[in-house]
Amino acid sequence: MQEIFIDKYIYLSMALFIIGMVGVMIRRNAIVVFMCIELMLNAVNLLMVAFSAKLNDAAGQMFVFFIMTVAAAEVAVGLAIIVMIYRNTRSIDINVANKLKW
Amino acid sequence: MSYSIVKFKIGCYLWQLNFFQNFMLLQSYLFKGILWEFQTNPMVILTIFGIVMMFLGVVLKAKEWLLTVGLLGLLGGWAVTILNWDTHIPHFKMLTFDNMSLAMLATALAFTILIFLITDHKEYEEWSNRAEFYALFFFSLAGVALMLSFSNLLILFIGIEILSITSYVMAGFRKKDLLSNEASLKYFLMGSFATGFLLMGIALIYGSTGSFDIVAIHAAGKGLGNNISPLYLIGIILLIVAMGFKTSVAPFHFWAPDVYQGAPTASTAYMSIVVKLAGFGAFYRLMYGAFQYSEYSWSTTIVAMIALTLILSNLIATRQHNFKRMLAYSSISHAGFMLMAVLYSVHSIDASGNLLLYIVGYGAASIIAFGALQLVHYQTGSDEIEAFNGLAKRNPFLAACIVLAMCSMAGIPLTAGFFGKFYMLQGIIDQGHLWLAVVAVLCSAVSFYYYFAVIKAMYLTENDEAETIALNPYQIFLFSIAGLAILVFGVMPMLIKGLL
Repeated sequence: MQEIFIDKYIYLSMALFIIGMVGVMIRRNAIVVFMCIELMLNAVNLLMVAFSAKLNDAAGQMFVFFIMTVAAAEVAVGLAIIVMIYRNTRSIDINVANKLKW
Repeated sequence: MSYSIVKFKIGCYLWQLNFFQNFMLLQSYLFKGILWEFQTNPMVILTIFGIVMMFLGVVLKAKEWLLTVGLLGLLGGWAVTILNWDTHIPHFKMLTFDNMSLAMLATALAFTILIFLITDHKEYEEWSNRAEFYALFFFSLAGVALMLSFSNLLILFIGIEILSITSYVMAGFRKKDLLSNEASLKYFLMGSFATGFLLMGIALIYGSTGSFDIVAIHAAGKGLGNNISPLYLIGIILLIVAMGFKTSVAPFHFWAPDVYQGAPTASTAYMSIVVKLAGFGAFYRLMYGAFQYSEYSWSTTIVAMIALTLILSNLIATRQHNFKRMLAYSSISHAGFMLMAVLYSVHSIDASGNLLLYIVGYGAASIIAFGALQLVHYQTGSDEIEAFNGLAKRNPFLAACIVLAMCSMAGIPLTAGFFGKFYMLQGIIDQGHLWLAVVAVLCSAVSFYYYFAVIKAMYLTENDEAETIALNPYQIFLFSIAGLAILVFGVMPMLIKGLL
């Protein structure tokens, strides 16, 4: 089997993770923020699979299935929350959430 | 020809019989397995009652039975938890119910029973989706059971997610209320952001140690000794960040006041007591169980987090006029104290008992505060501290209970809160963190200011317009049992601390 260059995978998934993290911090549209969170989770999935292949251990790949399932549940709840806010304020900008501060 | 047919038929028959017998064996094995799981795993009964509660609301429309069935389910879960004391049964190398996790789970269930009594109130009876609210409590408690007893990082992740996803919904349960919506959105975004960190931490730990099992990670940490890899170090730091988010420790606390203020009071009570309990149970288990030998690499981070948490939360809490928001900051400052148990867990076997004692004292005080807030809010429509003006005349019993709760939170002797703080400080002084103990004592002194503002409003401020507040028998039970717990464990802390 071809050798796996694990450091390349680490750099790639760290880059994806940081892009997602920065996206969560600077974007103001709730759906885009949500997509950035999914990007973070998928960066982790990539890293898990890479480590799993490198270590020759199936547990990492099994973990990825659980991450995907839980992420789907999170999407269901998250979109429901965003729809609820849209119904009340007619906006999905997260700046509408500014009534509670200090 | 005919012989072979007969043989074939007999063969078929025997095969069928064999199959049937095998099937029966399999079935009895499965049945025994299910029964066994039912007896030894409190999570099973909690999940079943969650489903039952949902059907009670959706199909049967049996509104008047909701609370009774819910309390029965919680008592059942509590009984299963208590009956497994000292058994240490492992479940597929994924869950291990040791005494620490059973004690924490029993505490969580007891507090949820009291929170259910808070919801026995007109405000919640008007809700159309009340059954789902109770069902969410049960599902969330199943997550708590997973978090408190994990022995594999996969279960930690699933437990945290079950708990968090249900909490997002519970925070936003008043669908038309903009504050509740905002609380839900903020909690959801921050929570799933933290989940990203948690997963990245788990992935890096997996990459550097080759396993998700905390026993294997523990052994790997022992083997690594002083030369740990950067992957392992970043993994630990990311896990601490994620758990810090979940337990609302500074500098990751900023979501907590907003969420606590916006959510319905019963959800806030649940989040500030049970979710915090589960978070610290998991944090303790993670740091103590998996990263004991690399303690030198993470203890400085935890010390900095404790100091920052105590200073920030106490200073900001003095500026609050809203009772609920003040309680949120107070819960952040208590999180700072609870984190001390994680800090010295590695060196002292007392840490688990201290953590349990602290959580019991803090939870009993919080439940009184939130229960009283619920009643006062319903009567006056306000969460401000001014709403408590003249409460000593409006209901002397309630006011006395709140005084007890505030004294316990501030850490006055002869209350459970005092011994919680005392043992925590003793633990960190034994580890040589004297300056941290000094900071903690000074911050406690600051906290007297905002706790006593409530007592001052109740006893020294006159309020002639407000009417008296009537309590129903459940509420009297709730306040007396929580007040009694504060007093009893304030005199005999070993009742709790000696358990572990």
